[in-house]
Amino acid sequence: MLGLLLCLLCPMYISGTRLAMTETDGGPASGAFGGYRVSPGIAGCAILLGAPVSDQTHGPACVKELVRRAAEGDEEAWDVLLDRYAGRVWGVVRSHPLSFHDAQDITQTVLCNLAENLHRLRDPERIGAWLATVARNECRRHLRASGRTRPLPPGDLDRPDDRTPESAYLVAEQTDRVRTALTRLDRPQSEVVRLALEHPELSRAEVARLAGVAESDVSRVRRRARRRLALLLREDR
Amino acid sequence: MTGPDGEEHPPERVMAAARAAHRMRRPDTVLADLLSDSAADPPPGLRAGPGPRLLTFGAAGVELHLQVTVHGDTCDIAGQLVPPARSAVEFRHAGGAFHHTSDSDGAFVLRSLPRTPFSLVCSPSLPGSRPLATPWTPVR
Repeated sequence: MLGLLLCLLCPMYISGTRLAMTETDGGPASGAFGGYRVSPGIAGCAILLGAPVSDQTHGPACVKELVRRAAEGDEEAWDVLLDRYAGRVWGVVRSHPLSFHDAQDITQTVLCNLAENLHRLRDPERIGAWLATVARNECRRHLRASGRTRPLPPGDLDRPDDRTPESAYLVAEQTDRVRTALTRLDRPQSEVVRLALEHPELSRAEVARLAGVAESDVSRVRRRARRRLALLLREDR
Repeated sequence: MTGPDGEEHPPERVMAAARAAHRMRRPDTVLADLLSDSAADPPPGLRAGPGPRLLTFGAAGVELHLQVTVHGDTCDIAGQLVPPARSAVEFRHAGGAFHHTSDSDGAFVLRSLPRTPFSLVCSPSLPGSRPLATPWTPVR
């Protein structure tokens, strides 16, 4: 219970503290198997709770200190890091067209790898950028793997191509107009339309989750988006 | 639940797994690189099919070849260490760790594993070699 309270409170105070943590540090953690250790962390947090000094917001040195402590097995430092960065990873992963389940697995993978790499990070203060890159790469790898399993109907390869330069140009122009109109849609309409366009196979529930709307609203948002698109394309003509 | 910047946290299942991974850290290991993954990069000319996924990890002159077969909610992993050597094998996942030993040629089979992101730690009985940990990898 105390741990939960601390992990909820710590980020607020750490964001405004001047590194009270360094003084309270214990010796290096016992070597193998994660070095489980509690007391110095509690001491550190208690000092933080007592001393909400106020000029450093998410200071790099503070992050570095948290990473160092977490690398030595300090569970509370790890909780603070998770509290601060897990949401960011989740946000990056959810911006990719993945199912909820896959998004959870990928976020979990990225966070577990952070735990494993804590003592190997070259620039601990750039942990946010590191996480975002790793998360994006993991998503791309996943999408590449699932995209490859879609075969092309062999009949399509032999069909005659009846396009002319003019028709190709007109199609491109039309595509461009639609694409421009799409960029002018607001959220969540833009998300819903893009998902319908690029991932028509997704269920209504998945669209709702990815676009951040209630499931019952998906059809309504889609309808409004279509009306708005029609309007934008008419104006544009 | 939201974070300090108003960001949404991942589901608790994910947070719990991250805490478990921290408790199971192995700073004494060499972290292996993923060298190939048949799911993301199938061999030239072949499409990734429904068959087993082949993963190769390597570091410090040791390679670990894995074949992952998914059965619904569980999976089996067959592994081979190169160079071959008897090795302790630890399968880590969010719910804990399983311990196993390979045969004298470095081959092992782990059956009915939970289908969740995992990491393996192999400690081959080669002179002067350190335990090898794979990065955490989702099973798909």
